Amino acid sequence: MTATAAIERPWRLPHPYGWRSLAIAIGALLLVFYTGQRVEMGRMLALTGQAVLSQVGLADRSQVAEGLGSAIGRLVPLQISDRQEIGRIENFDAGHLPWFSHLEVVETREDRLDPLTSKMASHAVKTSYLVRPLGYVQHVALKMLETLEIALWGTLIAILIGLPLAMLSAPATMPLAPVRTAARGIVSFFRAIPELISALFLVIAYGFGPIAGVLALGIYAAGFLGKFYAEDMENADPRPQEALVAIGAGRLATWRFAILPQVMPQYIGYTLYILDRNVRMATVIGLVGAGGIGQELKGRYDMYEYGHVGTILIAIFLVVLLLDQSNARLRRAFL
Amino acid sequence: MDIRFDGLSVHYADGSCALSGISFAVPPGQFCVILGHSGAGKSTLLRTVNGLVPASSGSVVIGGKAVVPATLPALRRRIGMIHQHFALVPRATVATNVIAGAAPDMPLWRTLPGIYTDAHRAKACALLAAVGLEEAHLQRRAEHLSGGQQQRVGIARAFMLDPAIILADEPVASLDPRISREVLELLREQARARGTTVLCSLHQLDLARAFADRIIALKNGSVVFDGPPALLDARDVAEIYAERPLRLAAVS
Repeated sequence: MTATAAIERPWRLPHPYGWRSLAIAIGALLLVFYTGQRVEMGRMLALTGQAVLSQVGLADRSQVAEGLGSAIGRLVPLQISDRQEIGRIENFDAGHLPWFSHLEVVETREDRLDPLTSKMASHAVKTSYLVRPLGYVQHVALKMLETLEIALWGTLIAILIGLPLAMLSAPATMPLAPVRTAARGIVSFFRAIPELISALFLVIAYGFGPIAGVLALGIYAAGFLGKFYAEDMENADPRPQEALVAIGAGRLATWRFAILPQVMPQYIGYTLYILDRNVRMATVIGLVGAGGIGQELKGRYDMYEYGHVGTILIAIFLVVLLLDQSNARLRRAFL
Repeated sequence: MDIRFDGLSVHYADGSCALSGISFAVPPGQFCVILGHSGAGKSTLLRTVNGLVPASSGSVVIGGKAVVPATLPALRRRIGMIHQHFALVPRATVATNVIAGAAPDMPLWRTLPGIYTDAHRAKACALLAAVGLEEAHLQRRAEHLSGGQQQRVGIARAFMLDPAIILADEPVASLDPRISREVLELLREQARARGTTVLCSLHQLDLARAFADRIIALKNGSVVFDGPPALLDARDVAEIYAERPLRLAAVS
Protein backbone atom coordinates (compact mmCIF):
# COMPACT_ATOMS: atom_id res chain seq x y z
CA MET A 1 0.00 0.00 0.00
CA THR A 2 1.45 3.35 -0.98
CA ALA A 3 1.19 6.41 1.16
CA THR A 4 -1.26 8.10 -1.18
CA ALA A 5 -3.57 5.11 -1.28
CA ALA A 6 -4.46 5.67 2.39
CA ILE A 7 -5.99 9.04 1.54
CA GLU A 8 -9.40 8.79 -0.07
CA ARG A 9 -9.55 12.38 -1.23
CA PRO A 10 -6.67 14.89 -1.46
CA TRP A 11 -6.11 16.61 1.89
CA ARG A 12 -6.38 20.34 2.03
CA LEU A 13 -3.39 22.16 3.51
CA PRO A 14 -4.03 25.90 3.24
CA HIS A 15 -1.27 28.38 2.50
CA PRO A 16 0.05 30.15 5.59
CA TYR A 17 -1.09 33.54 4.22
CA GLY A 18 -4.46 34.27 2.74
CA TRP A 19 -6.61 37.30 1.85
CA ARG A 20 -7.16 38.00 5.52
CA SER A 21 -3.45 38.30 6.22
CA LEU A 22 -3.04 40.56 3.20
CA ALA A 23 -5.89 42.81 4.37
CA ILE A 24 -4.35 43.02 7.86
CA ALA A 25 -0.94 43.84 6.38
CA ILE A 26 -2.40 46.63 4.21
CA GLY A 27 -4.36 47.98 7.16
CA ALA A 28 -1.27 47.98 9.38
CA LEU A 29 0.77 49.73 6.67
CA LEU A 30 -1.88 52.45 6.24
CA LEU A 31 -1.96 52.97 10.01
CA VAL A 32 1.82 53.28 10.12
CA PHE A 33 1.83 55.87 7.34
CA TYR A 34 -1.03 57.84 8.86
CA THR A 35 0.56 58.03 12.30
CA GLY A 36 3.97 58.69 10.74
CA GLN A 37 2.57 61.71 8.96
CA ARG A 38 1.03 62.97 12.21
CA VAL A 39 4.37 62.82 14.07
CA GLU A 40 6.16 64.58 11.15
CA MET A 41 8.35 61.67 10.14
CA GLY A 42 8.61 63.10 6.61
CA ARG A 43 10.06 66.37 7.89
CA MET A 44 12.41 64.41 10.16
CA LEU A 45 13.77 62.51 7.16
CA ALA A 46 14.15 65.71 5.12
CA LEU A 47 15.97 67.58 7.90
CA THR A 48 18.26 64.65 8.71
CA GLY A 49 19.03 64.14 5.03
CA GLN A 50 19.86 67.81 4.67
CA ALA A 51 22.18 67.60 7.71
CA VAL A 52 24.02 64.65 6.21
CA LEU A 53 24.30 66.39 2.84
CA SER A 54 25.66 69.56 4.45
CA GLN A 55 28.34 67.53 6.19
CA VAL A 56 29.58 66.07 2.91
CA GLY A 57 29.33 69.48 1.26
CA LEU A 58 26.35 68.86 -0.97
CA ALA A 59 24.01 71.32 0.79
CA ASP A 60 24.67 74.89 1.89
CA ARG A 61 23.40 74.94 5.43
CA SER A 62 21.36 72.79 7.70
CA GLN A 63 19.37 73.87 10.69
CA VAL A 64 19.83 70.48 12.39
CA ALA A 65 23.60 70.29 11.87
CA GLU A 66 24.07 73.84 13.14
CA GLY A 67 21.83 73.26 16.15
CA LEU A 68 23.61 70.05 17.11
CA GLY A 69 26.99 71.63 16.49
CA SER A 70 26.33 74.62 18.69
CA ALA A 71 24.84 72.45 21.44
CA ILE A 72 27.86 70.17 21.52
CA GLY A 73 30.21 73.12 21.07
CA ARG A 74 28.85 74.74 24.21
CA LEU A 75 29.61 71.66 26.31
CA VAL A 76 33.34 72.12 25.79
CA PRO A 77 35.62 73.01 27.42
CA LEU A 78 34.43 70.65 30.15
CA GLN A 79 34.38 72.07 33.64
CA ILE A 80 37.06 70.28 35.62
CA SER A 81 38.18 72.65 38.36
CA ASP A 82 36.25 74.47 41.00
CA ARG A 83 36.84 78.09 42.05
CA GLN A 84 35.24 79.58 45.10
CA GLU A 85 35.55 83.04 46.57
CA ILE A 86 37.08 82.54 50.01
CA GLY A 87 34.83 85.15 51.57
CA ARG A 88 31.92 82.81 50.91
CA ILE A 89 33.54 79.78 52.53
CA GLU A 90 32.60 79.30 56.13
CA ASN A 91 35.46 78.87 58.62
CA PHE A 92 38.05 79.37 55.94
CA ASP A 93 41.57 78.81 57.26
CA ALA A 94 44.32 79.83 54.85
CA GLY A 95 46.78 77.76 56.88
CA HIS A 96 44.96 74.53 56.18
CA LEU A 97 43.96 74.37 52.55
CA PRO A 98 42.28 71.23 51.24
CA TRP A 99 44.53 68.84 49.35
CA PHE A 100 45.76 69.82 45.90
CA SER A 101 44.20 73.23 46.16
CA HIS A 102 45.76 76.64 45.92
CA LEU A 103 44.77 80.23 46.38
CA GLU A 104 44.40 82.57 43.47
CA VAL A 105 44.26 86.33 43.84
CA VAL A 106 42.56 88.23 41.11
CA GLU A 107 42.97 91.98 40.85
CA THR A 108 40.19 93.82 39.16
CA ARG A 109 39.75 97.53 38.71
CA GLU A 110 36.48 99.00 39.72
CA ASP A 111 35.18 102.49 39.16
CA ARG A 112 33.64 103.87 42.31
CA LEU A 113 32.33 107.21 43.36
CA ASP A 114 34.75 108.89 45.76
CA PRO A 115 32.64 110.46 48.52
CA LEU A 116 35.23 113.16 49.18
CA THR A 117 35.73 114.38 45.68
CA SER A 118 32.36 113.38 44.30
CA LYS A 119 34.18 112.00 41.30
CA MET A 120 34.50 108.56 39.85
CA ALA A 121 37.82 107.01 40.72
CA SER A 122 39.36 103.75 39.73
CA HIS A 123 40.21 101.34 42.57
CA ALA A 124 42.09 98.10 42.54
CA VAL A 125 40.06 95.33 44.18
CA LYS A 126 41.74 92.11 45.22
CA THR A 127 39.61 89.01 45.49
CA SER A 128 41.01 85.71 46.75
CA TYR A 129 39.71 82.47 45.34
CA LEU A 130 40.25 78.94 46.52
CA VAL A 131 40.97 76.86 43.44
CA ARG A 132 40.70 73.09 43.49
CA PRO A 133 41.98 71.76 40.17
CA LEU A 134 39.74 68.68 40.24
CA GLY A 135 37.06 70.24 42.45
CA TYR A 136 34.15 70.01 40.07
CA VAL A 137 34.95 66.44 39.03
CA GLN A 138 34.97 65.57 42.72
CA HIS A 139 31.63 67.28 43.21
CA VAL A 140 30.10 65.40 40.25
CA ALA A 141 31.50 62.12 41.56
CA LEU A 142 29.83 62.73 44.93
CA LYS A 143 26.53 63.54 43.24
CA MET A 144 26.91 60.43 41.11
CA LEU A 145 27.46 58.38 44.25
CA GLU A 146 24.24 59.82 45.64
CA THR A 147 22.47 58.80 42.44
CA LEU A 148 23.78 55.25 42.77
CA GLU A 149 22.67 55.15 46.39
CA ILE A 150 19.20 56.35 45.40
CA ALA A 151 19.04 53.61 42.76
CA LEU A 152 20.21 50.95 45.21
CA TRP A 153 17.66 51.91 47.85
CA GLY A 154 14.94 52.25 45.22
CA THR A 155 15.70 48.66 44.25
CA LEU A 156 15.73 47.43 47.87
CA ILE A 157 12.37 49.06 48.56
CA ALA A 158 11.02 47.61 45.32
CA ILE A 159 12.01 44.10 46.43
CA LEU A 160 10.59 44.61 49.93
CA ILE A 161 7.23 45.74 48.51
CA GLY A 162 7.20 43.72 45.29
CA LEU A 163 7.92 40.27 46.70
CA PRO A 164 5.09 40.25 49.27
CA LEU A 165 2.72 41.69 46.65
CA ALA A 166 3.74 38.95 44.21
CA MET A 167 3.11 36.30 46.85
CA LEU A 168 -0.30 37.81 47.59
CA SER A 169 -1.21 37.75 43.90
CA ALA A 170 -0.10 34.19 43.01
CA PRO A 171 -2.55 31.29 43.47
CA ALA A 172 0.19 29.03 44.86
CA THR A 173 0.75 31.29 47.87
CA MET A 174 -2.62 33.04 48.29
CA PRO A 175 -5.77 30.90 48.15
CA LEU A 176 -8.24 33.79 48.51
CA ALA A 177 -9.20 35.13 45.08
CA PRO A 178 -10.34 38.59 46.28
CA VAL A 179 -6.96 39.18 47.96
CA ARG A 180 -5.16 38.14 44.75
CA THR A 181 -7.28 40.53 42.72
CA ALA A 182 -6.60 43.36 45.15
CA ALA A 183 -2.85 42.67 45.17
CA ARG A 184 -2.78 42.58 41.36
CA GLY A 185 -4.66 45.87 41.31
CA ILE A 186 -2.05 47.50 43.55
CA VAL A 187 0.76 46.07 41.40
CA SER A 188 -0.84 47.43 38.21
CA PHE A 189 -1.38 50.79 39.87
CA PHE A 190 2.28 51.02 40.93
CA ARG A 191 3.43 50.11 37.44
CA ALA A 192 1.13 52.70 35.89
CA ILE A 193 2.91 55.64 37.59
CA PRO A 194 6.08 56.62 35.75
CA GLU A 195 8.91 57.57 38.11
CA LEU A 196 9.13 61.11 36.74
CA ILE A 197 5.47 61.81 37.52
CA SER A 198 5.47 60.30 41.01
CA ALA A 199 8.77 62.09 41.74
CA LEU A 200 7.07 65.43 40.94
CA PHE A 201 4.47 64.80 43.63
CA LEU A 202 6.84 63.16 46.09
CA VAL A 203 9.12 66.21 45.89
CA ILE A 204 6.14 68.30 46.99
CA ALA A 205 5.46 65.87 49.85
CA TYR A 206 9.00 65.14 51.07
CA GLY A 207 10.86 68.18 49.77
CA PHE A 208 13.85 68.33 47.40
CA GLY A 209 16.36 65.56 47.84
CA PRO A 210 16.93 61.84 47.68
CA ILE A 211 13.88 60.67 49.72
CA ALA A 212 11.51 61.55 46.89
CA GLY A 213 13.83 59.86 44.40
CA VAL A 214 14.13 56.62 46.35
CA LEU A 215 10.35 56.37 46.83
CA ALA A 216 9.54 57.22 43.21
CA LEU A 217 11.92 54.54 41.91
CA GLY A 218 10.81 52.04 44.55
CA ILE A 219 7.10 52.37 43.82
CA TYR A 220 7.36 51.89 40.06
CA ALA A 221 9.88 49.05 40.37
CA ALA A 222 7.71 47.35 43.03
CA GLY A 223 4.94 47.26 40.43
CA PHE A 224 7.31 45.82 37.85
CA LEU A 225 8.84 43.22 40.15
CA GLY A 226 5.46 42.35 41.70
CA LYS A 227 4.10 41.46 38.27
CA PHE A 228 7.08 39.47 37.02
CA TYR A 229 7.81 37.71 40.34
CA ALA A 230 4.19 36.53 40.42
CA GLU A 231 4.20 35.39 36.79
CA ASP A 232 7.22 33.19 37.38
CA MET A 233 5.66 31.65 40.46
CA GLU A 234 2.62 30.73 38.39
CA ASN A 235 4.79 29.21 35.67
CA ALA A 236 6.92 27.20 38.10
CA ASP A 237 6.85 23.42 37.69
CA PRO A 238 3.86 22.25 39.82
CA ARG A 239 5.25 18.76 40.49
CA PRO A 240 7.69 19.66 43.30
CA GLN A 241 4.95 21.83 44.80
CA GLU A 242 2.56 18.90 44.79
CA ALA A 243 5.21 16.73 46.42
CA LEU A 244 5.33 19.20 49.33
CA VAL A 245 1.54 19.58 49.54
CA ALA A 246 1.18 15.77 49.54
CA ILE A 247 3.12 15.44 52.78
CA GLY A 248 1.21 18.23 54.47
CA ALA A 249 3.63 21.16 54.14
CA GLY A 250 2.14 24.64 54.61
CA ARG A 251 1.92 27.23 51.86
CA LEU A 252 4.98 29.23 52.92
CA ALA A 253 7.06 26.07 53.36
CA THR A 254 5.95 24.88 49.91
CA TRP A 255 6.87 28.26 48.47
CA ARG A 256 10.28 28.21 50.11
CA PHE A 257 11.21 24.63 49.19
CA ALA A 258 9.47 24.09 45.86
CA ILE A 259 8.91 27.48 44.22
CA LEU A 260 11.68 29.84 45.31
CA PRO A 261 14.61 27.67 44.13
CA GLN A 262 12.92 27.30 40.74
CA VAL A 263 12.33 31.00 40.17
CA MET A 264 15.53 32.35 41.76
CA PRO A 265 17.50 32.78 38.49
CA GLN A 266 14.69 34.77 36.89
CA TYR A 267 14.24 36.81 40.08
CA ILE A 268 17.91 37.75 40.05
CA GLY A 269 17.61 38.65 36.37
CA TYR A 270 14.63 40.96 36.94
CA THR A 271 16.23 42.54 39.99
CA LEU A 272 19.47 43.26 38.12
CA TYR A 273 17.44 44.80 35.29
CA ILE A 274 15.62 46.99 37.82
CA LEU A 275 18.92 48.03 39.41
CA ASP A 276 20.25 49.00 35.98
CA ARG A 277 17.05 50.83 35.08
CA ASN A 278 16.98 52.59 38.46
CA VAL A 279 20.50 53.98 37.98
CA ARG A 280 19.47 55.47 34.64
CA MET A 281 16.11 56.70 35.95
CA ALA A 282 17.75 58.14 39.08
CA THR A 283 19.69 60.56 36.87
CA VAL A 284 16.47 61.59 35.13
CA ILE A 285 14.24 62.12 38.18
CA GLY A 286 16.89 64.41 39.62
CA LEU A 287 15.62 66.89 36.99
CA VAL A 288 12.47 67.43 39.06
CA GLY A 289 14.49 67.87 42.24
CA ALA A 290 14.61 64.32 43.55
CA GLY A 291 18.30 64.42 44.38
CA GLY A 292 21.46 63.11 42.77
CA ILE A 293 23.27 64.03 39.60
CA GLY A 294 20.09 65.00 37.75
CA GLN A 295 19.40 67.80 40.17
CA GLU A 296 22.94 69.12 39.61
CA LEU A 297 22.47 68.83 35.84
CA LYS A 298 19.21 70.75 35.88
CA GLY A 299 20.70 73.47 38.08
CA ARG A 300 23.73 74.00 35.81
CA TYR A 301 21.64 73.84 32.65
CA ASP A 302 19.30 76.50 33.98
CA MET A 303 22.30 78.73 34.72
CA TYR A 304 23.69 78.25 31.19
CA GLU A 305 26.82 76.59 32.61
CA TYR A 306 27.19 74.19 29.72
CA GLY A 307 30.77 73.25 30.57
CA HIS A 308 29.48 71.81 33.83
CA VAL A 309 26.69 70.06 31.93
CA GLY A 310 29.29 68.46 29.66
CA THR A 311 31.22 67.05 32.63
CA ILE A 312 28.00 65.67 34.10
CA LEU A 313 26.95 64.04 30.82
CA ILE A 314 30.32 62.33 30.48
CA ALA A 315 30.09 61.12 34.08
CA ILE A 316 26.63 59.65 33.41
CA PHE A 317 27.89 57.98 30.25
CA LEU A 318 30.85 56.44 32.09
CA VAL A 319 28.66 55.14 34.90
CA VAL A 320 26.14 53.55 32.54
CA LEU A 321 29.03 51.92 30.66
CA LEU A 322 30.49 50.58 33.92
CA LEU A 323 27.06 49.39 34.99
CA ASP A 324 26.62 47.41 31.78
CA GLN A 325 29.93 45.69 32.38
CA SER A 326 29.26 44.86 36.02
CA ASN A 327 25.72 43.74 35.20
CA ALA A 328 27.04 41.27 32.65
CA ARG A 329 29.48 39.96 35.27
CA LEU A 330 26.77 39.62 37.93
CA ARG A 331 24.55 37.77 35.49
CA ARG A 332 27.31 35.33 34.66
CA ALA A 333 27.99 34.78 38.35
CA PHE A 334 24.36 34.16 39.35
CA LEU A 335 22.63 32.58 36.37
CA MET B 1 -1.19 1.70 59.37
CA ASP B 2 -3.78 -0.08 57.26
CA ILE B 3 -5.68 1.43 54.35
CA ARG B 4 -9.29 0.56 53.60
CA PHE B 5 -11.19 1.57 50.45
CA ASP B 6 -14.96 1.38 50.89
CA GLY B 7 -17.00 1.63 47.70
CA LEU B 8 -14.70 4.40 46.50
CA SER B 9 -15.71 6.21 43.30
CA VAL B 10 -14.10 9.25 41.69
CA HIS B 11 -15.77 11.25 38.94
CA TYR B 12 -13.96 14.14 37.33
CA ALA B 13 -15.57 17.47 36.63
CA ASP B 14 -16.04 16.57 32.94
CA GLY B 15 -18.23 13.63 33.99
CA SER B 16 -15.67 10.95 33.19
CA CYS B 17 -15.35 8.20 35.75
CA ALA B 18 -11.84 7.47 37.01
CA LEU B 19 -12.69 4.92 39.70
CA SER B 20 -15.93 3.10 40.46
CA GLY B 21 -16.83 1.02 43.47
CA ILE B 22 -13.33 0.20 44.69
CA SER B 23 -13.34 -1.84 47.92
CA PHE B 24 -10.33 -3.56 49.43
CA ALA B 25 -8.08 -3.27 52.45
CA VAL B 26 -4.30 -3.18 52.69
CA PRO B 27 -2.91 -4.51 56.02
CA PRO B 28 0.05 -2.74 57.68
CA GLY B 29 3.46 -3.50 56.21
CA GLN B 30 2.19 -4.91 52.93
CA PHE B 31 3.92 -4.10 49.64
CA CYS B 32 0.88 -3.77 47.44
CA VAL B 33 1.30 -3.14 43.72
CA ILE B 34 -1.50 -1.51 41.74
CA LEU B 35 -1.17 -2.84 38.20
CA GLY B 36 -2.85 -1.61 35.06
CA HIS B 37 -2.23 0.19 31.79
CA SER B 38 -2.20 3.97 31.40
CA GLY B 39 -5.52 5.55 32.28
CA ALA B 40 -6.74 2.59 34.32
CA GLY B 41 -7.04 4.80 37.43
CA LYS B 42 -3.85 3.79 39.30
CA SER B 43 -2.67 7.36 39.98
CA THR B 44 -6.15 8.48 40.95
CA LEU B 45 -6.44 5.62 43.43
CA LEU B 46 -3.13 6.55 45.09
CA ARG B 47 -4.09 10.20 45.24
CA THR B 48 -7.32 9.53 47.09
CA VAL B 49 -5.21 8.15 49.95
CA ASN B 50 -3.58 11.51 50.74
CA GLY B 51 -6.51 13.58 49.56
CA LEU B 52 -4.87 15.06 46.44
CA VAL B 53 -7.96 13.73 44.65
CA PRO B 54 -11.19 13.84 46.72
CA ALA B 55 -13.54 10.86 46.68
CA SER B 56 -16.83 11.46 44.85
CA SER B 57 -18.54 8.73 46.83
CA GLY B 58 -17.44 6.00 49.21
CA SER B 59 -14.49 6.51 51.51
CA VAL B 60 -10.83 5.87 52.24
CA VAL B 61 -10.03 5.01 55.85
CA ILE B 62 -6.47 5.05 57.15
CA GLY B 63 -5.68 3.61 60.56
CA GLY B 64 -9.35 4.00 61.56
CA LYS B 65 -9.52 7.65 60.38
CA ALA B 66 -11.51 8.62 57.29
CA VAL B 67 -9.68 10.81 54.74
CA VAL B 68 -11.67 14.04 54.91
CA PRO B 69 -10.46 17.65 54.80
CA ALA B 70 -10.47 17.88 58.62
CA THR B 71 -8.14 14.90 59.10
CA LEU B 72 -5.91 15.61 56.07
CA PRO B 73 -3.20 17.80 57.65
CA ALA B 74 -2.47 15.21 60.35
CA LEU B 75 -2.80 12.23 57.99
CA ARG B 76 -0.58 13.66 55.26
CA ARG B 77 2.40 13.85 57.65
CA ARG B 78 2.14 10.08 58.06
CA ILE B 79 2.02 9.42 54.30
CA GLY B 80 5.14 9.73 52.17
CA MET B 81 4.93 9.99 48.40
CA ILE B 82 7.27 9.00 45.57
CA HIS B 83 6.54 10.45 42.15
CA GLN B 84 6.89 9.31 38.57
CA HIS B 85 8.99 12.29 37.49
CA PHE B 86 10.76 12.42 40.86
CA ALA B 87 9.23 15.88 41.59
CA LEU B 88 12.55 17.15 42.92
CA VAL B 89 13.52 20.80 42.65
CA PRO B 90 16.19 20.60 39.93
CA ARG B 91 18.20 23.62 41.05
CA ALA B 92 18.14 22.79 44.76
CA THR B 93 20.82 20.58 46.25
CA VAL B 94 20.27 16.91 46.97
CA ALA B 95 20.43 17.61 50.72
CA THR B 96 17.83 20.40 50.52
CA ASN B 97 15.51 18.24 48.45
CA VAL B 98 15.62 15.52 51.10
CA ILE B 99 15.28 17.92 54.03
CA ALA B 100 12.22 19.40 52.28
CA GLY B 101 10.56 16.08 53.13
CA ALA B 102 10.51 17.21 56.76
CA ALA B 103 8.93 20.59 55.92
CA PRO B 104 5.71 19.98 57.92
CA ASP B 105 7.88 19.39 60.99
CA MET B 106 9.72 22.71 60.82
CA PRO B 107 8.83 26.13 62.20
CA LEU B 108 8.83 28.87 59.54
CA TRP B 109 11.76 30.65 61.13
CA ARG B 110 13.87 27.64 60.21
CA THR B 111 12.24 26.95 56.84
CA LEU B 112 12.51 30.45 55.36
CA PRO B 113 16.22 31.16 55.97
CA GLY B 114 17.08 27.48 55.50
CA ILE B 115 18.56 26.86 58.94
CA TYR B 116 17.72 23.23 59.68
CA THR B 117 18.08 21.31 62.95
CA ASP B 118 21.02 18.96 63.41
CA ALA B 119 18.51 16.13 63.75
CA HIS B 120 16.99 16.82 60.32
CA ARG B 121 20.42 17.22 58.71
CA ALA B 122 21.70 13.99 60.25
CA LYS B 123 18.55 12.17 59.20
CA ALA B 124 18.85 13.38 55.60
CA CYS B 125 22.47 12.18 55.52
CA ALA B 126 21.55 8.79 56.98
CA LEU B 127 18.70 8.29 54.51
CA LEU B 128 20.87 9.30 51.54
CA ALA B 129 23.50 6.84 52.67
CA ALA B 130 20.79 4.17 53.02
CA VAL B 131 19.59 4.70 49.45
CA GLY B 132 23.13 4.37 48.17
CA LEU B 133 24.29 7.93 47.51
CA GLU B 134 27.67 9.35 48.49
CA GLU B 135 28.64 12.28 50.70
CA ALA B 136 29.85 14.03 47.54
CA HIS B 137 26.27 14.13 46.24
CA LEU B 138 24.97 16.15 49.21
CA GLN B 139 25.76 19.59 47.78
CA ARG B 140 25.20 18.70 44.12
CA ARG B 141 22.12 20.06 42.39
CA ALA B 142 19.45 17.42 41.90
CA GLU B 143 19.41 18.15 38.14
CA HIS B 144 23.00 16.93 37.85
CA LEU B 145 22.10 13.41 39.04
CA SER B 146 21.08 10.50 36.81
CA GLY B 147 17.43 9.42 36.76
CA GLY B 148 18.06 6.47 39.07
CA GLN B 149 19.95 8.65 41.52
CA GLN B 150 17.17 11.25 41.43
CA GLN B 151 14.58 8.63 42.33
CA ARG B 152 16.82 7.49 45.17
CA VAL B 153 16.72 11.07 46.43
CA GLY B 154 12.93 10.94 46.03
CA ILE B 155 12.80 7.81 48.18
CA ALA B 156 15.03 9.36 50.85
CA ARG B 157 12.73 12.40 50.90
CA ALA B 158 9.64 10.22 51.31
CA PHE B 159 11.12 8.58 54.43
CA MET B 160 12.09 11.86 56.17
CA LEU B 161 9.00 11.93 58.41
CA ASP B 162 9.03 8.15 59.12
CA PRO B 163 5.73 7.66 57.31
CA ALA B 164 3.46 4.74 58.14
CA ILE B 165 2.39 4.59 54.48
CA ILE B 166 4.26 5.29 51.25
CA LEU B 167 2.46 6.00 48.01
CA ALA B 168 4.72 5.30 45.04
CA ASP B 169 3.13 6.63 41.83
CA GLU B 170 4.87 4.86 38.91
CA PRO B 171 8.22 5.30 40.67
CA VAL B 172 10.23 3.65 37.88
CA ALA B 173 8.25 4.66 34.79
CA SER B 174 11.04 6.92 33.53
CA LEU B 175 13.93 4.59 34.40
CA ASP B 176 15.52 1.78 32.39
CA PRO B 177 14.77 -1.85 33.38
CA ARG B 178 17.98 -2.51 35.32
CA ILE B 179 17.77 0.71 37.33
CA SER B 180 14.05 0.11 37.82
CA ARG B 181 14.79 -3.16 39.59
CA GLU B 182 17.44 -1.54 41.77
CA VAL B 183 15.11 1.26 42.79
CA LEU B 184 12.17 -1.03 43.56
CA GLU B 185 14.49 -3.38 45.48
CA LEU B 186 15.64 -0.41 47.54
CA LEU B 187 12.11 0.81 48.17
CA ARG B 188 10.95 -2.63 49.31
CA GLU B 189 13.99 -3.09 51.54
CA GLN B 190 13.55 0.33 53.20
CA ALA B 191 9.82 -0.27 53.68
CA ARG B 192 10.39 -3.76 55.16
CA ALA B 193 12.97 -2.43 57.62
CA ARG B 194 10.47 0.12 58.94
CA GLY B 195 7.23 -1.84 58.61
CA THR B 196 5.92 0.77 56.16
CA THR B 197 2.81 -0.01 54.13
CA VAL B 198 3.52 0.62 50.43
CA LEU B 199 0.98 1.26 47.73
CA CYS B 200 2.95 1.25 44.49
CA SER B 201 1.48 1.69 41.03
CA LEU B 202 3.26 0.02 38.12
CA HIS B 203 2.44 -0.77 34.53
CA GLN B 204 5.19 -3.41 34.04
CA LEU B 205 3.90 -6.88 34.76
CA ASP B 206 7.35 -8.45 35.36
CA LEU B 207 8.26 -5.84 37.98
CA ALA B 208 4.93 -6.27 39.73
CA ARG B 209 5.43 -10.05 39.83
CA ALA B 210 8.96 -9.70 41.17
CA PHE B 211 8.32 -7.23 43.99
CA ALA B 212 4.70 -7.35 45.13
CA ASP B 213 3.35 -9.10 48.20
CA ARG B 214 0.00 -8.62 46.56
CA ILE B 215 -1.16 -7.35 43.18
CA ILE B 216 -4.34 -5.40 42.61
CA ALA B 217 -5.09 -4.88 38.95
CA LEU B 218 -7.24 -2.01 37.76
CA LYS B 219 -8.99 -1.69 34.46
CA ASN B 220 -11.23 1.21 33.48
CA GLY B 221 -11.51 2.21 37.15
CA SER B 222 -12.47 -1.19 38.58
CA VAL B 223 -10.55 -3.95 40.31
CA VAL B 224 -10.14 -6.93 37.96
CA PHE B 225 -7.61 -8.93 39.96
CA ASP B 226 -6.68 -9.06 43.64
CA GLY B 227 -4.27 -11.61 44.99
CA PRO B 228 -0.65 -12.68 45.42
CA PRO B 229 1.58 -12.61 42.30
CA ALA B 230 1.65 -16.37 42.14
CA LEU B 231 -2.09 -16.48 41.41
CA LEU B 232 -1.85 -14.08 38.48
CA ASP B 233 -2.24 -16.35 35.42
CA ALA B 234 -2.17 -15.73 31.68
CA ARG B 235 -5.93 -15.22 31.48
CA ASP B 236 -5.81 -12.46 34.10
CA VAL B 237 -2.97 -10.80 32.25
CA ALA B 238 -4.87 -10.93 28.98
CA GLU B 239 -7.87 -9.40 30.76
CA ILE B 240 -5.80 -6.60 32.36
CA TYR B 241 -4.02 -5.64 29.17
CA ALA B 242 -6.89 -6.29 26.74
CA GLU B 243 -7.06 -3.39 24.33
CA ARG B 244 -9.55 -0.74 25.04
CA PRO B 245 -11.78 0.21 22.13
CA LEU B 246 -9.53 2.53 20.15
CA ARG B 247 -11.18 5.91 20.33
CA LEU B 248 -8.55 7.71 18.25
CA ALA B 249 -10.46 6.61 15.15
CA ALA B 250 -13.31 8.88 16.19
CA VAL B 251 -11.16 12.01 15.79
CA SER B 252 -12.45 13.78 12.71
